[in-house]
Amino acid sequence: MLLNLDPRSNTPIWEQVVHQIKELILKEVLLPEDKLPSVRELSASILINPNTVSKAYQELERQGIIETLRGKGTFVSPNITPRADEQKIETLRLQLKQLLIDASYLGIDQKTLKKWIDKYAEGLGGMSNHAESE
Amino acid sequence: MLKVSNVSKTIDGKLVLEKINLELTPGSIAGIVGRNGVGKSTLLRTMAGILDPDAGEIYFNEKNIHEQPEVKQKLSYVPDSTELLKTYNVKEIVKLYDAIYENFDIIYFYSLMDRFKLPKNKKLRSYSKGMKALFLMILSFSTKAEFIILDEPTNGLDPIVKRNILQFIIEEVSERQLCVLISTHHLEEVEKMADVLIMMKEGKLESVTSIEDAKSEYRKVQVVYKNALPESILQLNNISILSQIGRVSTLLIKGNIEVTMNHLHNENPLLVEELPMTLEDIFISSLGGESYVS
Repeated sequence: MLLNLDPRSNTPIWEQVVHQIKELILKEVLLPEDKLPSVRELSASILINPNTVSKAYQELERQGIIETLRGKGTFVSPNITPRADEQKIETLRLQLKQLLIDASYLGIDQKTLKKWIDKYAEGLGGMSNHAESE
Repeated sequence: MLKVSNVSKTIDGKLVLEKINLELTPGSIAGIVGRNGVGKSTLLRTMAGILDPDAGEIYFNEKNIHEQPEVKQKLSYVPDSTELLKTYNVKEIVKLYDAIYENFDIIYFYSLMDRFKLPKNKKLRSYSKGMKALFLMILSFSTKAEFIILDEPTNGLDPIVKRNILQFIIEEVSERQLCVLISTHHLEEVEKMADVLIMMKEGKLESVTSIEDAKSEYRKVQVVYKNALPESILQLNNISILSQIGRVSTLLIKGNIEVTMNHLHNENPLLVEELPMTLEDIFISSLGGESYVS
């Protein structure tokens, strides 16, 4: 499993791991019930602190995206259900607003933006299965 | 589990360590950084019990390591050179370590020698620099010590050996509850590997924080104002100017980030842009000082 971490980014490394695993799942590189590398394997292969990987796995588990089976390892959850995290939704909404403001200053019209959204959604597997189950 | 309490040390009339206080916990990797000559190696050697402190104590599991040397069974120190062992062959060194360390795991040691393909019938002198570094690492972790001190373990190694060594350290830490203290100048290694970042300056600890906290305390920005940098910004004491090229200034903000960012915005900038930041920026800003070598 290849993660692309940027130690220079202002996003903490454990959060980058969370984001990238989520992305790999959406892109269907990781499928439901796939086994994830162990903390030891992942941290050694990308040379990051094992506690960082544990923290990322705990967060993914809390969000119901992966699950740990005692003595067997860590797996992608068979059915990922979206969970409403009020705070995160709010941040996301504000980020989108900021994005729209920036876009309008750059002269990008809504049609282009929508096209981009569709294109990315397609690349991430339609995102439909995650939206429907809500 | 390891506690350094008020340690001071004078060498040749020079105060090398000044009232050092530090606590390290099992299951963590701590990175110690600082410029050459600030006392890193002296601190590590004092923590290993090689040097005696002039004042203060070092405790391992609540036992003073200088008064109860038997606790050093649980402690292993890897120096930055192999001078001491170079005339011995592998077997002799293993014999020595096995005699010193009760829990020395010979089977584990030889399995690691095989894994890293190190020759077993040679004198250490005939090893390359990379082989020596790997060998010392293997030897040290085979003692099953709970606290391992590594003085510049990756200094001067090729990228592949370096990777082997770092991987090995990470594996060991994730496998059992041990604490590894690494001194290094390779900031990008500490950045990803360490839980705790210890910055040392002129014989004192400048700060002990997690990497995340250290980074969230700083912000690097690029700003452009119509004329020169406004006076009111120059007067802020939590800003250091990293570079100034024409009207473009690169600033490093330390602490009070939101307030300072607002301040920058209020002075009608043409541009305020956050830049990616590395430990190196923090290092230069807080440990830099004069640019000569001490």
